[in-house]
Amino acid sequence: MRHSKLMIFLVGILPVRAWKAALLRGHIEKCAACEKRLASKDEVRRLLVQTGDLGDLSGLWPAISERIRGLRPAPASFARGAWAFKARSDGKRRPPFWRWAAAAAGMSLAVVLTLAAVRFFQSPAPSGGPAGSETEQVQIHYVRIDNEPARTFIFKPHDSDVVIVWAGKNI
Amino acid sequence: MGDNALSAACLEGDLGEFREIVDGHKAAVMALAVNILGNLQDAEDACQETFIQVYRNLESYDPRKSFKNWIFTILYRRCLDQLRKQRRFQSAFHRAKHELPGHAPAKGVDPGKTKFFSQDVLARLSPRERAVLVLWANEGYTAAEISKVIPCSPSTARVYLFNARKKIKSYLEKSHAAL
Repeated sequence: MRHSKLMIFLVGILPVRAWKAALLRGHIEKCAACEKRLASKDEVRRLLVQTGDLGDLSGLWPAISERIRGLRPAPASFARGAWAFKARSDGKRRPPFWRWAAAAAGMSLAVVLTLAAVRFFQSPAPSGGPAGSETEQVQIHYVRIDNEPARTFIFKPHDSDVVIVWAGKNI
Repeated sequence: MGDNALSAACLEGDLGEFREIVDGHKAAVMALAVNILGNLQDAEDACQETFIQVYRNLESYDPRKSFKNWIFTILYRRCLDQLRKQRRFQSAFHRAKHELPGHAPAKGVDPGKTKFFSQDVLARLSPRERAVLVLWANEGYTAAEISKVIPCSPSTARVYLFNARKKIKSYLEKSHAAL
């Protein structure tokens, strides 16, 4: 009896789980005196809920069937959570094509944005007025009405992008 | 019909075969869930989720392994998830209770959950230890078989089982002495 107490104590204080397991397998599971210091299957069963204690479980299937109706078992690759990877013949996994495509698209976008930013910050500030707007570059060299040279005015309101071109006969 | 044949039939969309699987395993699955979670309502939820997950993942089942173990593994993970969620909810609930002094907690917060831990000792064990105990005592599993359900080595399963049995024995001895 004393040895079983010592053994149980020893298992309790051993620092490494593998050593504990070795002692359990090597001695305690085979020794009747040591086994008596642990709860038996019958004692444990008396504390646990048994299948017979659960009563009627007939309500389980309707609830399940309602939820799985319309579902189909997922394909194996998806079910394993391997939807993002395809198996290679050498057993290793590699990302599928769409992951490469997404990565390439992301990289391209980053390059384009970087170039655009560099260009934006390096471009010289336009000079004068509400400046830089294309309306400033509007030029009308020559306007004729009824085969006669006409007077031409160009209006550009400050708060709008609209350009109004007015041409009138020379009177 | 064996589980492998049933699962193959289910893959062809036969719900009747899946019902056979559910009927064949529901009692054992439910008992494991109740013993891990400690109340019937949560156990029912866990069982439903488990069987739905089983149905969805039937094609990934490896027929060389035990179908029952596979279901138990899914259930065990479900139960741990559920306990984690409960802990988060309870801590949030306690925080809210402390932040509202004088506010009496609503009586329906934990609505009618039928507690199954009639013995305090089971509540003192960790969910892992309870799972190991059920598999050992109710299902007759060895440490090696337990380690296939609860992802760990057989040595670790053996140590969990030892700790759980020791705790139960000391509880039983104390309660016997008190009488």
